[in-house]
Amino acid sequence: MSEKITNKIYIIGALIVLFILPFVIEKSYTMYILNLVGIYAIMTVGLNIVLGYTGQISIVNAGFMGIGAYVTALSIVKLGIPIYVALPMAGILTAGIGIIIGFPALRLGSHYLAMATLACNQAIQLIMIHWKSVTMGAAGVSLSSVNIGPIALNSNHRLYFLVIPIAFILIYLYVNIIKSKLGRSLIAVRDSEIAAQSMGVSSAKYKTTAFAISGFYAGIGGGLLALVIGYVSPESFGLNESVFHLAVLVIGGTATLPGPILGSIFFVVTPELFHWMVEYKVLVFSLIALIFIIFMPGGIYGLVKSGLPGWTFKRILNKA
Amino acid sequence: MDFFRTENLSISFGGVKALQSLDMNIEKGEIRGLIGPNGAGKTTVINLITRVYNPTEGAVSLEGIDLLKSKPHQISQVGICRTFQNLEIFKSMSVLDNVMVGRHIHLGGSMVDSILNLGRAKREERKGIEKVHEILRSLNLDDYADSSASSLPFGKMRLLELGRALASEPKLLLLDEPGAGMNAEEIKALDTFIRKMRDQLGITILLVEHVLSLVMEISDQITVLDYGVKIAEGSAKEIQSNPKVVEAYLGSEE
Repeated sequence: MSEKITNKIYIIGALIVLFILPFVIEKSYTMYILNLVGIYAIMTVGLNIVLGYTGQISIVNAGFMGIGAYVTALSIVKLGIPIYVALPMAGILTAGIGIIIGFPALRLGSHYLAMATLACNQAIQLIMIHWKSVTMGAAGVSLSSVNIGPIALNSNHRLYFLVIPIAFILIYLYVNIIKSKLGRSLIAVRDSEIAAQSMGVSSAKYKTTAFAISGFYAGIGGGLLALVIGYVSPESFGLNESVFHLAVLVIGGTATLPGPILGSIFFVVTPELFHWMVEYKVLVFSLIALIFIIFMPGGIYGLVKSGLPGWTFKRILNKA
Repeated sequence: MDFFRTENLSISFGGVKALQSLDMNIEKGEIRGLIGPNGAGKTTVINLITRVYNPTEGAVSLEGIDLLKSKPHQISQVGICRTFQNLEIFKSMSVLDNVMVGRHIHLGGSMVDSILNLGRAKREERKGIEKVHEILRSLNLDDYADSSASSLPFGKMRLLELGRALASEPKLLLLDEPGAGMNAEEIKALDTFIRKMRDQLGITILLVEHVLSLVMEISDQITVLDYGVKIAEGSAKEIQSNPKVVEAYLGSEE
């Protein structure tokens, strides 16, 4: 019981901080970074469900994100659909694509599944480039001043109030998923497919569900990204972006609840801290990533949990 | 109508006949032992019943329901559950969650309920947890409920598998060498527990076991396999004095 109460206090505390931030921070660029953190948290949280908890290697997350971004941008620009319809539509449509892409997972082992999802990512990107009549090809789609009712989403501060609540709700649902019968079934399929099946857990149903959920999350994330950046083009959704999502997850802590969120903060914020050493930024950053993979396979979360900070943190909790 | 029967059940793997036309009837409430030397095809029988393998020939039915029409994940719904010889516990879960997965088919509520943590899913989850604690208590595992399943000692992992299978409330329980790796004391406890399952819960049991003393003591009937062929069937006494069985286990005298 007391654990539940402390959890609630943390959640309310986080909400208050998140609410105050935009009033304290004046710099628009800082708000832009915070929005990106929220968006990457959404996308990698979904990836964690399929890759971390269900154990299905998925290298198509950038493709999902691209579908979400294009559906959102095109339905707003070309069809004049309001954003509060376009965004859920992007999520649901991408979830549908997720189910279709999930089918190979029923027959393919890990390495082959990696290849298959990678190929799907490439195919999605090629469609974006060549289906010019709809996607406008390599030139991309520009989104200028989107409105929600009378409010124009024309600043990073305003977008923050769209991105962060959505991120908060989706992360809340993600925690529910993992802690429910659904999440337990996903983990069962990962840990022992044969035992899961003999307990009545259909591995086919749950694997496709996992892909659908990751599609939904990446689709919403992609849609929000289109709004925050104001421009969508095929090159943003290539293989390197999918690998980037993978890295965020691995470094944050795969198959841990806060892992993808910590990873998103790390990957979006730290490059900004190294701005002063422009030429070496990528090098330093890659080194940090490598050190993590080699010495801290549990990711940032694993470090916090096993290391000194985690230890003191727990002591305080136990005393409270 | 027979409670459980296999008819002419056969399977070959690339020319190797792992099981040849097995006819076996098990009555409701029976404890049936299934023994045989290494490689006799005992686990193959369990894998055929639970649809892990597709038989090349034959039929399997429980209470007249043709099992070959079911998919692997539907077998527990028909009323059959199993344990595994080489332990297939869900390593990253707690002991409690492992048994909760066993409860899967009894937990209602849609996926949306699950995601929103509302309604039927939430209520049934709570009821399920109570039931699981009850099962864990009966196996003396309740103190470990919140521990990680992978941290359990070996003998307790076997009990955990038993608890997980029980949680699905099977009519027929297939135990694949539940006593392997257990010490004498643990085997004695297992013996009592298997009897209790039959007497109090009315579960029919097919026991595949290497520990012959255990099988001989608790089985009503014993089926003996050798090289995929049934060579004997009967009470413990009949089996022990059957020359074919003695030969299969000890080799012929010539």
